[in-house]
Amino acid sequence: MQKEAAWLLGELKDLIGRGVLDEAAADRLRAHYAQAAMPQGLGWGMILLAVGGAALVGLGVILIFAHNWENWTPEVRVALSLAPLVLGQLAAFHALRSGSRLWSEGAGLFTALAIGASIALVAQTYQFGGDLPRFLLIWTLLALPLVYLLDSSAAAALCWLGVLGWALVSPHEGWWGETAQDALRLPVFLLLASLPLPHLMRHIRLDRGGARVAWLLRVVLLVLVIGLAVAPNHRQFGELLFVYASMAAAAALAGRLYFSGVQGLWGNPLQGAGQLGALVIALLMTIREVWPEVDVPRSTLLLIPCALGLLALWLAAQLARREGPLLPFVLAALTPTVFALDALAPQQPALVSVLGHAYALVLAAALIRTGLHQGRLGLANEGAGLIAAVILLRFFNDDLSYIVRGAGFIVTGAGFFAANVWLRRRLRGTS
Amino acid sequence: MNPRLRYGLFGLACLAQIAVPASLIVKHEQTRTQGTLWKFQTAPVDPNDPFRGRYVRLSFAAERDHVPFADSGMIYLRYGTRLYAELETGADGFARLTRLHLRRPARGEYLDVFMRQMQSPKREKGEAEKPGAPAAQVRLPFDRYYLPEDRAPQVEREYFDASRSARANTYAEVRVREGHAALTALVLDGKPVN
Repeated sequence: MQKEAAWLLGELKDLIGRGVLDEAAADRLRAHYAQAAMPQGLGWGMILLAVGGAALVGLGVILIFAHNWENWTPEVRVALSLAPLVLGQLAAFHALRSGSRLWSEGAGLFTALAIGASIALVAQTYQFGGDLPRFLLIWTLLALPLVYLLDSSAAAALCWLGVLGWALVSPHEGWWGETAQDALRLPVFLLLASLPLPHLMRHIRLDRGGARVAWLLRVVLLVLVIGLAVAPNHRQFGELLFVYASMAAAAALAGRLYFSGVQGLWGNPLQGAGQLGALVIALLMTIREVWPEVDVPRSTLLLIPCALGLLALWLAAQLARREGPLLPFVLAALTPTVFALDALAPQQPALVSVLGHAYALVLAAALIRTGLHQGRLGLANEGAGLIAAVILLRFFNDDLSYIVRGAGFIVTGAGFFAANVWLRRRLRGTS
Repeated sequence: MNPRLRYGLFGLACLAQIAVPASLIVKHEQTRTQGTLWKFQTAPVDPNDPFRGRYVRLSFAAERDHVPFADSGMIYLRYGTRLYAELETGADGFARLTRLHLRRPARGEYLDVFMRQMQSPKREKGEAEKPGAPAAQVRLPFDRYYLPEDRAPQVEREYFDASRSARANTYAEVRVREGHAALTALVLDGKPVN
């Protein structure tokens, strides 16, 4: 297979030249057969080595130059500052010509790092003042073309981390205060974070079960979870419960719907992170002290829970046809439940506590039932774990003696083990 | 994508990647060679501000003054807003920021600075608020002096001591051209730092 795939990839240029294939079809063939054309067993290992090697070499060169050798004249320093960038561009040109994925990933990451290094080292040589947000923004935008021209996922990940860095440092430096209102910071963050998204979408279409897609999704989730907490100007963390609830529900449902064939929650980051987020939010909803701190977003941030809440409902409707309505609609109900409980909280705190517990128990029941139905112990365990966590939280939360708490912990732990054994037997019985 | 288009876009991307550091170099070289020389007197750094690695963190007396705005009336400006400060040489030979402008002045020597803190016009106790030009503290666009990493800690200590005890001889030399500043030297107690 490897030999045939390599032969086919070698023929592509000729086939395009003769008009047998267009460039788009050739790109799809390259992406599809790239892994198969590599020596067996070395595919991802070699790519990780290339990416890791490029990162280490790039960072090593930057650190050596950053020592700011006193014997070097400014001209020498400038030449050496630009040298890694030019080297990276030559490597990127080679990658572009050869179509090699190894070279594309390695050269893409090295060049992306070299862009930042060249600007930083020139700034060091000429004693510029620091403007970190502007530096991160320019660096990210200059690295972005590498994502598409080289099809480099490592460069895409670096761009996302650059956007996150910009979101983390810009509020403190007041950079946006110069030219725009604070209200723009969140839309700008979302716009910047969306720039590498077509690259991810393309690879989801080509190979949704691949490690490349899983890694990119992990980076995107990390960037969104942290970025949405820091990008809005007035950081009222009580507003984030709405945002995270809608993100968790939409991610869990999208993961179940579009990545259902992917093995394990690690290979399906959307489902894994989404379900974990839903469990945490459901647990938070049972804590009475949380609700006075929760506040409906009054800025553009409100659009996120509204849009993602609607998306979750649509995803649930699609998923319900395949695996039944229970778990999809319980997950989709997470965001509306948070809105409803927040509205009730000032007048009816006791009722909100009851309803919060009720939602957590319904979610746990839906997870257990779906897990049993689909023969998935992990899913059923998530439900049992949620029940155990709610019970344990009550023991922490309420004013009880150590003896009662200790006994409660033991009983809950024993119950969790017993439930696990029972679930295993049930699953063996059904399989 | 068409190969020619792809190579063309790649060339443009490479040019943009080189153009950014190159434009920084050109602008700075122009300022270094054609700009007017000013001396900015340093002020003690905040001792809680940790050592930054391979550069010395700088603080200037001009950043502590409240500089009046050229325009009268109430002005609300956010932290970090870019302003333009008129420059003059004081009797002691050091640069002074005399007035702040919201727009780039058409003539005269000025420096791009950044808003830190507004201050209403001073008034005596019990006196009603006076109309007039408000003032502001600003941040200068140069705040660090890079050094070889093995020299930076020692120089930072010397800078801290010199800023406290021998202020008259401790300053930064800065060239300014059309608002752009290029820090060219740091002088500690009369001796330039190399």
